[in-house]
Amino acid sequence: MAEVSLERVTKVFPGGVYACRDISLTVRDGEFFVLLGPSGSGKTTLLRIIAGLERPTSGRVYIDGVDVTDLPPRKRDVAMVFQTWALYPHMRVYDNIAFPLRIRGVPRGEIDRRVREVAKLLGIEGLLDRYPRQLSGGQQQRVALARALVRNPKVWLMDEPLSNLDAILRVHMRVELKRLQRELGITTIYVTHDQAEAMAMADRVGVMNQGVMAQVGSPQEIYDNPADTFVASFIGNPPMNLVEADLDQELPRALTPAGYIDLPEDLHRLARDRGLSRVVVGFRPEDTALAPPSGDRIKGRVVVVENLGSDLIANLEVEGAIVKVRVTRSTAARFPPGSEASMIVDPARVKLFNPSTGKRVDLE
Amino acid sequence: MPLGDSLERFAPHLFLFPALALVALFIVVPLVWNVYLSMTNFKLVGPTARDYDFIWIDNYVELLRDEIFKRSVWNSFLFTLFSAIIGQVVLGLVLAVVARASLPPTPLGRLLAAARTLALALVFASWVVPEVVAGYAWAAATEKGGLVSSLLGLDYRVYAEHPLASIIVANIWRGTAFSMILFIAAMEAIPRSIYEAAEVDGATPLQRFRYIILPMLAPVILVDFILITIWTFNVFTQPFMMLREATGKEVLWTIYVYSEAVKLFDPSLAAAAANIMFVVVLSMIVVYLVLLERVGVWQRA
Amino acid sequence: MQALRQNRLLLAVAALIVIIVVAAAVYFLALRQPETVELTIEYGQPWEDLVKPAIEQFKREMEARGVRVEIREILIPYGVDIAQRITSDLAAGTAGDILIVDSFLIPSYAEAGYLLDITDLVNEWPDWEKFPEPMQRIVMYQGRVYGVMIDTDVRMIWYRKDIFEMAGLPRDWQPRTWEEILEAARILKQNEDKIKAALGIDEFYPLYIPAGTNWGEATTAQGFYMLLLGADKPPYNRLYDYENNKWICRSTALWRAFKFYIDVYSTGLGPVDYNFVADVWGTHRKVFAEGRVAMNIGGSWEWNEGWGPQGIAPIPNREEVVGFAKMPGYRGGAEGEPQFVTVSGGWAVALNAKLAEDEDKLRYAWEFVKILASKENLARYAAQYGKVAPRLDAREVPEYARDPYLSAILEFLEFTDFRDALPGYPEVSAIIQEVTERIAKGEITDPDEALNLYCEELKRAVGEDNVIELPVRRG
Repeated sequence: MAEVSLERVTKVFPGGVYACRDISLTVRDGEFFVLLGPSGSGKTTLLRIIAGLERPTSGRVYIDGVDVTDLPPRKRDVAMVFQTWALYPHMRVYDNIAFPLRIRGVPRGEIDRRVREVAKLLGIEGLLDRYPRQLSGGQQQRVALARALVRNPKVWLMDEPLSNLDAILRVHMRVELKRLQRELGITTIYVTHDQAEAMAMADRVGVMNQGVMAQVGSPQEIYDNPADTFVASFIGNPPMNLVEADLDQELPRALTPAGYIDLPEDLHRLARDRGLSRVVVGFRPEDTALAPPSGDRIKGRVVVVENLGSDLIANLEVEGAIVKVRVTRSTAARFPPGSEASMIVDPARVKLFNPSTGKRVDLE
Repeated sequence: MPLGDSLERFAPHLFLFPALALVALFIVVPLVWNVYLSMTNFKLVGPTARDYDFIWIDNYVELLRDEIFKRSVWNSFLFTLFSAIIGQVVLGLVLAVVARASLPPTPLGRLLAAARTLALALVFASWVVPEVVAGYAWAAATEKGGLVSSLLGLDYRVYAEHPLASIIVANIWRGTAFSMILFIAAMEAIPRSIYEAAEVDGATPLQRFRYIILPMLAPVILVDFILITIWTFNVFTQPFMMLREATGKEVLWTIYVYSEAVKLFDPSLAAAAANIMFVVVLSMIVVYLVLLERVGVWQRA
Repeated sequence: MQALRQNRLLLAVAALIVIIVVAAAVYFLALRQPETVELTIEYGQPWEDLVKPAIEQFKREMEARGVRVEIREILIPYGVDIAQRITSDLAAGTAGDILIVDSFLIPSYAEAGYLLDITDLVNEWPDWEKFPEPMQRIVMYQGRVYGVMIDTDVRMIWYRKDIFEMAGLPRDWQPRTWEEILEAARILKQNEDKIKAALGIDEFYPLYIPAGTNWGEATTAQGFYMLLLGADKPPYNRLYDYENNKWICRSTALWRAFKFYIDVYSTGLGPVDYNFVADVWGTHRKVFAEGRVAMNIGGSWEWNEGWGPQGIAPIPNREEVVGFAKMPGYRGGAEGEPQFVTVSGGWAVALNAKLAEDEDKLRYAWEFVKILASKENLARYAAQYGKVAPRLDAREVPEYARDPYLSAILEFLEFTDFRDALPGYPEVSAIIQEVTERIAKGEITDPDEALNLYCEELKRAVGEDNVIELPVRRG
């Protein structure tokens, strides 16, 4: 059992900058938990607080139910992989991996057995005699993982470990890392700013924004039901379209100068009951279709069609804002850039947000 | 072979020529000249200023026969060992570690930090003070009734009774700042994540120093050794200011050379002494370079 | 077209050549008049106030004669060893035409062929007679003259009248023999406690005579020679035997001089420690000013530089408490020994040997020397710095005559003497420094042992063939 709990953790840096604000979180035993957020959102600080490299200004940190807030890193039994991998340049690969065991006084034979075991697991047996300088980025990455693995820590902490790798290697390492973590069942907290990485690897994701935990949930939950406009605009590629509109007090629809968008009846009622007159309508590009201009439906002009390989994304200019719509090749052919089009949104997939708080209407 | 081709082939050597010529002019020629000079009886004044003879190794024989010279060389060696290698490097390293240690943002921590800043400024100042001034200051401090003498509770002229120890301490005082600055810079160059990785890997502060900082600084430490060994072996002003000729000539070879050669306008004897010391220092440096090759292998891997 | 262009080029080159040739001719024939003198003078900053006005005066006088003078100065600043610098420049061939050199190095320079023999020039110069005979001999080597003294000094026994009084000794004191000096020292020693209590000091020594290598040349010039020159009758009172051209290895005079050192330093009369401090010069002035030393064998400059109002260790009531006495000979003039002795050193203006190749230059350089070393210039400079002037007619110059101290010490010049500054002298001096150092340290307490060590080292330094041993009368 290695469960990590944060209880109302706040970190204020000198000068009054809040890196983390009142964060409570429990990472379950064996879970792959990703902290996701743009740079400066406080995710790395949070990770360093768990590692013991920073002290929280207030709040407590528990590992396995033990309060470790005041313990130095070496007494927490966590292992960390750094963004730069932080290999010891003066030690050979073997000694790098053996280091955590050596300083704990593990017997020589045992060290040798475990170093070779981990090296084999990561496929770096052939590199043990080299110095870090002689390794490629991917190889260094594996050595860093091996060093973090070798002593069976309770928790694995990773700070953007893949961001210094090239794109192909990165995708490859994602899979491998995930496989390794599942096999070993180590509780893992992984920091990244890459939402695709988070989606691909996480059991659960915590999205952070300006020091606040915006939403915690499985990748699917977060994608389907973003808790607020920040999460909505941060997750997904391209992200959710957000259009501010007036709430029609009679019919279930939202009105913009360019036309209306259909809303699901229950959400419309909820919003109206809350007394909202303006709402932010959120809808994903794949839940939207283009049609020839007709009636009062929201209209716009196709500006450009992006080719993402498997998908085509039509950029529709609506009242000076861009709305993204996923289209098929045949649809794209029908609406070349410069043509007018109406937009049909699947009402069942529409989310409504409160424009003043940013929160989803049905969660408030 | 057309002219253009051969020109192209030799052009790189041609471009090297000015640099090589300068090296020859300013390093090789003086070196050879010094060896030649040391084998003559040339003096700046008197009849041998005009007509000097080649006397082979007489100057060297004279030096090696001189008990005071031999004593001064041995003492210079001890002086370098204790003041440069042990004193400045070890103390410089300790100060560098202290300078970088993080202190808690409590009132006491802030007080300590301020005291540390002041102390480091003083260390640095000792390096900036002109040597002559520093020499006089130390002579005064180790006088009978001087600051250092009184603090030690010694009622005599400390620099006269313990000349070697006095100039060792004074030289450590003066030279440590250089090593400290060098080590601070080298430690700054180690990425913070390396320290943190070691911390998370479970190393105690002492283990971090022993296994991470020290081996990573080793090449810099050796370079520091090389530099300060040369400087310390050739140091003159501050010890001379403290000991002058009477005591100094038995303690430092540079003061011996001053006493025997410079004062008597005898450059050939001075050249012989300088050549002997050149060989001594060179052999020490060769040892360092061999060590450097060993400890720095990871840097060139 | 092509041909035309080439012709034009040819024309241009030809024109250029003509212009250069004409310009060069004009320069050499018209502009470079023979009546321009260029001289370089190399000297240390201490003589700036003497040299600068002399240069101006020289320029004025030459201009009156229709000669344009250009003088380049190589000024060696304070803090640089002037003798070292000039010696190096001479050896390198870059020294000035006119030089102000340490008189003590003149024989070494002359032997090395660096300096011009100016014997014939001084013989035709009426002022030469105004330099007392010792001031003339000091710039000679093997009978030839190589310079003119511009700055000198004499040495004496400085003593504290107030301390003498405390010990019941006369305020106006002039010893006649060495024994009288030692006797006064012993009386002072007996009154040590009284003196310490009166002055509030923790140490007291009757007599300080420089010893050891920290004093460097001063040990020999200021200590040893003050004894040696009075220790026997001439010519046995020297380091060098001019008749046989050998260094003296053993002599009565040497024995007596070493014995005096032993008498002073092995009996507690002299301050051993003060010879081994880092700053011997500053210390010897300070301890005299504080009364820790009652008799101090030192130089004439101390009156101002040491104890004057702007001195290193000012004594406020200097006129009242500081006295000076002439150093007596061993037995005060008995058996042909000198009655009084003093030693002079100092600096002389000399000419670079390379001037021999340029008669014009040499003529003007000598003109400059005559102006520099004129009565008025030397007297004024000496008065300004409170030093003894090297010319006896300085007392005719009001600025000099006004100072009673300066007038009083002028008489020392009549009996002054100087060191045997021959090539090789620096080594010999170093040996004396060494032997007196061992005496002061208490390692040698027997004058014969001191003499043996001296003789042994001397043979090693100058060669056995170059020394002579004279009979030694012990006592």
